[in-house]
Amino acid sequence: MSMTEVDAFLQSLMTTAPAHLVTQVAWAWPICETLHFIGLVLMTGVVGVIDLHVLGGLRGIGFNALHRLLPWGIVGFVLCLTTGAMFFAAAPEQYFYNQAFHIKATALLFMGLNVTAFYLWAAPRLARGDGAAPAPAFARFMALLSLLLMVVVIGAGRMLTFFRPPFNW
Amino acid sequence: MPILLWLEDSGLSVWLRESPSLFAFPGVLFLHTLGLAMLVGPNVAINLALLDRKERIPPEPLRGLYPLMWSGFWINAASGALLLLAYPTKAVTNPLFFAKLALVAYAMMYLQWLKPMLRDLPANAPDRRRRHRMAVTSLALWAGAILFGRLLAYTYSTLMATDLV
Repeated sequence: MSMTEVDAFLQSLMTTAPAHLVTQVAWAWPICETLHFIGLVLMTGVVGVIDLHVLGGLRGIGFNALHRLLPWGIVGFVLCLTTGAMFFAAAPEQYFYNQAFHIKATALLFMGLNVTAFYLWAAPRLARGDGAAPAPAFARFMALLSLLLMVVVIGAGRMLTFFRPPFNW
Repeated sequence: MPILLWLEDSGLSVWLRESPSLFAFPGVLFLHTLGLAMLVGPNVAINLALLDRKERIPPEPLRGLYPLMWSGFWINAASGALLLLAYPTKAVTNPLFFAKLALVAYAMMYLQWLKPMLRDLPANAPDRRRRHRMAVTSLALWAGAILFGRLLAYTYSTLMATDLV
């Protein structure tokens, strides 16, 4: 794909229905931003609390019991992904050529790898325990990485406005 | 409003508004969002744990989240004060700003009222209903605070004191 093809694709996103919704309907953009932030607290709240548990906090709750909250974290992530995709479709070049977005997307990618590794190797072991014994070192590393990546995603997300092209070129 | 003019002319206010440094306005906004995640994230998790239908999550250990949530609160009180200092007129001329503060204050009171209830699962139905009602109210208060906070960027009438004729 050449750069002109990429640009043509980005341009075409702006004519899609989600892009129209978020730019043409009054208050749609702020409402979607609000949903993006509600998704943020749902996801970071649930995932962060599970991470803190794996790191040794909140003793007295079993991993399986706490893990019952995870569907709400997934709801939060889906909210963020949906509204985020709408913002991207509405102003693709503002994101595609934005260094803060590159950092945010990379951190999200690492988050996906981390969560995959966690469920492949750490979660089955933690699910068998009663929550009293400390988690294995590699599981604690993944939990710490998860918290750090969430901070990077929040930070880079906040910086998007200030790295909007072409102002930063 | 001389006090608004004076605030906007202060060195810190001008630096926050006009400095190209990422540690100025962008950095303060980042801290405000980090504080949000530290305070509202765990509070939401506590509310959802209390609403868990099978009541498998023992609430008592969730008290351990209070120091983290209060740290988030103070980060946001400080970063919020800096955001206010950067654009005082913009905030105080918007009724939504005061509505947001009221919702945050109310949500914090709920958080403190909830703390003594984070004990063993309630044996009787009235206690259970009361706790569920508090959890739902707390979730609604935070959703409202986030909504009003976001709307502040779209609903202000006057940006600077010099715009007040």
